[in-house]
Amino acid sequence: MAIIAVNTKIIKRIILHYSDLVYCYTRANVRGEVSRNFLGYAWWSLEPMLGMLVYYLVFAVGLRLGDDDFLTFLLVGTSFWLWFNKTVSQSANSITKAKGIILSAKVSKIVFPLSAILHTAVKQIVVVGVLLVFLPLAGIEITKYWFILPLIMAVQLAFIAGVSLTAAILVPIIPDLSFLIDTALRLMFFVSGVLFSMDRIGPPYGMYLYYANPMAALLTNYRKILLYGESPDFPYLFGCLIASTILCLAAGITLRKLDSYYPRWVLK
Amino acid sequence: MTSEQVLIRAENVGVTYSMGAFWKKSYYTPIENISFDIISGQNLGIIGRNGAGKSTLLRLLAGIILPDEGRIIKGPEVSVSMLVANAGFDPFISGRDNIYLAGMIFGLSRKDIDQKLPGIIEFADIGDWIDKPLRTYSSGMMARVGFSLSLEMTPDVLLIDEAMGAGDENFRKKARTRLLEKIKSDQTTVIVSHDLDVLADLCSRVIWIHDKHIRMDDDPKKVTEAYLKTTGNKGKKRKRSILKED
Repeated sequence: MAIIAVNTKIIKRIILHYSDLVYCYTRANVRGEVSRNFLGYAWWSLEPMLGMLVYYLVFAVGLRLGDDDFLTFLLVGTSFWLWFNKTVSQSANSITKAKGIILSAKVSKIVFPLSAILHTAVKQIVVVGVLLVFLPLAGIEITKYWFILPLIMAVQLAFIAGVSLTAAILVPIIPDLSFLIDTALRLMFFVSGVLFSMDRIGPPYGMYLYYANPMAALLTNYRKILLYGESPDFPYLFGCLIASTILCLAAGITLRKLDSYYPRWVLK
Repeated sequence: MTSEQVLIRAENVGVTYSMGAFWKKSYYTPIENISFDIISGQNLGIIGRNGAGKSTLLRLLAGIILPDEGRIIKGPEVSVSMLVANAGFDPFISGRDNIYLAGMIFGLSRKDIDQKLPGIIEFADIGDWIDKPLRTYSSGMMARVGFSLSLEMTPDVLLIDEAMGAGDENFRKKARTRLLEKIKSDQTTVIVSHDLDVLADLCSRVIWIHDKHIRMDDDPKKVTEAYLKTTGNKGKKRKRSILKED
């Protein structure tokens, strides 16, 4: 009994220490990122807006695609797509980037991808804040479905964490993967319905993509609740949450098991 | 605690690094079948040529890597940390934030650092620069911050890789005095150095690593004499030793 008591105490201390470390590492990175530019925090909301502007100019103004709602449609898509995209590419290289730290102290490697996940999550809150102000200004009606937004964001966070942790585990082992991840993200961008609705892709492929690619389903559901005043696809969201949580746990356990090998891998 | 207490025991330890992709894999074994004890209160010196596996040995003792053969036996309550002048340092964040970050990575809690921060900043003595991002620092200022933090660490076993910079002459003197005080106190230390005089002066025991194995593990005088006979020089140093008295 005594041994178990000591162990839980040590474990509690370790968890507290590491959550503190993730917090400090993230805070430092946020401050660093902000201090690098003249406009600082403003970029957090400017970046998705500029991304949207590019697509709007190319597709709506240039190619005359999309209907009158195209602007809000794009804004919702890019805001939440960028969250996924940024986190995955940041986490993928997070362990390799921390080489100096890893080679001079014993530290749990999960700190680095977790900090990347926290970093972009904090930014996303600002992005969503701006989005929620912009939508009514663009003539979108606020409905009761807006209150479901935190729930879908929680599902997306779990999905992002699962994919990001997996990428963080693999890239130091096979560095070549960082190129493949870039390509995979670009491909995924086109089949996630950022630029066009999933039902534009003829049946049955649109449906397959919707179910196989959680980002496509998440973006569709964000639009349902924010733009169209419709109820989201709860069974799918629930399933996605469960699957993502399992992926997160599996990745966490794997990372813990491989923890002491990473210094050797980043040395290569 | 008795004075003869073994803090860390290395038992037939070997490390093999594998390099390259799986179809062109090559292996490199810096150390093989090495055994020794680190005893509480003792200063242990490690000597050997470049690439003899001294850094690998320090990483093993710090628990950063695990051995491929043999084992490192260490109680969970024994804390070990490496003294490094600029680890964990992020160029885009301020000196103050870097102290928090590096301190926590070396195992201090945020509260510990809150307490030690004024002392660290005073010792580093770089004025308002402490709140500016590290990328604007000179290398001397960077070493000042790193070293001041390192000196505040009080692990059970302190690992020192002696080939490190410590800024300008003024700071070097100040840092050396503090470091020597620390080494000469009850602090258990492992010092890796090329400088035989330094090891003879500070250590009660020196291990000589040669060709993957321990060639000698004895009194500093005997080891350095034997080492001099084979290498024929006192170990030329490109960098001035931080531990050496002028």
